[in-house]
Amino acid sequence: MKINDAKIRNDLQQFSVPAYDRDKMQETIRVSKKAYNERLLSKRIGFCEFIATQVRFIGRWVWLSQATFLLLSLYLLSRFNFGKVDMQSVFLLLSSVASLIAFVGFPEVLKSYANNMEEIEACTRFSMRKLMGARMLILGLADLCSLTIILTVSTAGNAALILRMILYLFVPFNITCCICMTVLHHVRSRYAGYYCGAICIVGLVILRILTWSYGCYEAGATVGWIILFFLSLIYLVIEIIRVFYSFNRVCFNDEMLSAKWQ
Amino acid sequence: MTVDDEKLIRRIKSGDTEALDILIQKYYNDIYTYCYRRLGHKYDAQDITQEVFLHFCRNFDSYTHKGKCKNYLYVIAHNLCVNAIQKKTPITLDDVGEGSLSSNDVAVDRFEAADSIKTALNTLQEEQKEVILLRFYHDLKLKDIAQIMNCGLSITKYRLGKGLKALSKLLAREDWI
Repeated sequence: MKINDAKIRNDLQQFSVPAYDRDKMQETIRVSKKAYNERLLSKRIGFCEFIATQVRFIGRWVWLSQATFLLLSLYLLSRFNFGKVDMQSVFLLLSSVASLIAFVGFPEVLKSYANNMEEIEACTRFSMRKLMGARMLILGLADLCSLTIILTVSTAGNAALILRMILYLFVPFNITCCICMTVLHHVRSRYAGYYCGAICIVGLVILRILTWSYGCYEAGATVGWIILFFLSLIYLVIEIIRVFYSFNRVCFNDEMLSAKWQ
Repeated sequence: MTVDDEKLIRRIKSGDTEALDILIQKYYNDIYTYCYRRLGHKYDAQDITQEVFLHFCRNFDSYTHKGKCKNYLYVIAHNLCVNAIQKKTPITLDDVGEGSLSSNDVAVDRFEAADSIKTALNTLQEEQKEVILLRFYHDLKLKDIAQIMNCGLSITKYRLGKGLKALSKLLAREDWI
């Protein structure tokens, strides 16, 4: 049977549809707009995606400074003749670079406080703790990558000294991180960066004095370095946990809100 | 003046909610009439239409515009209508021609005609009914209908042919065609 489309179409038009309520359409528009605006809040993202989004918020100068320190240390290491040179210079270079690499990221962790943005960031999509945790994780991983590259290049020239080189890299790194974390735990303002910088410079000067006056890079002092490594590592872990859990507090116990609530 | 869908989608993606307003107003009636003819009840149709746009907004980030925004809305409406029909409880009070029924003969004839068509459509299988609705009320191409119903083109043609034959028979039995 040949169906006549036009006739069927004409007949079907008898099935009219009642007009919709204008109010209902306006309500649809209103709730749709609300859903559109809230979709970001309801959208859950994975850990890797979250970290990837936070990488974009790390300042370029951090990456530039870190790359500069890394390339400079690699250049200096490539110029050393490990067979002839006084190894104390190499060790001092490694320790100094490790301290500087550790210090570079801290002003970035502190930037919310330095710019008085902590109150706003505390009520954004991600909690302050998550944001700070992500920043510390990204910068920490970047630091570890840089140190691994330096270690690989430096031990390529003298593999026998690998343990000592690890210690000379990671002990100053851990101690710098411990100092910065302690400052970060107690001082949440732009001054924290200055304090960290000042303490790092003092630390480097002390390291240099110890190197030339007391021979702290001698093989006999290795046990002391190992003890220092574990102590600094334990303190660093404790301090990271304390700092991490303190990030959700917008104001400290000894601070008071100045606004009077009606 | 109709606004190009592509421009609207681009504006919505950039966070312009006024464009969303325009898009909803543009397609609200199409989706509502589709839902009404599938469900046969004004308030259910309005609720499902709202759900369609809500679903569209909530999942807007996953939407990729390929020039068929309307079809995408029909796909959502199709899925929501299928769910609603599965859950549906019988409705006793029918609101066909609500507010338009008067005592004169023409109006009564129109109501009876509409009721016959509606009854005939409801007698068809859901798939056949949907193909006919999309083809004759919404002027969609068979290829697009196949996409909306998530089936092949040949089966869509088959369903349309079978549906039309059945519809002709049903209406002829009631001396309509």
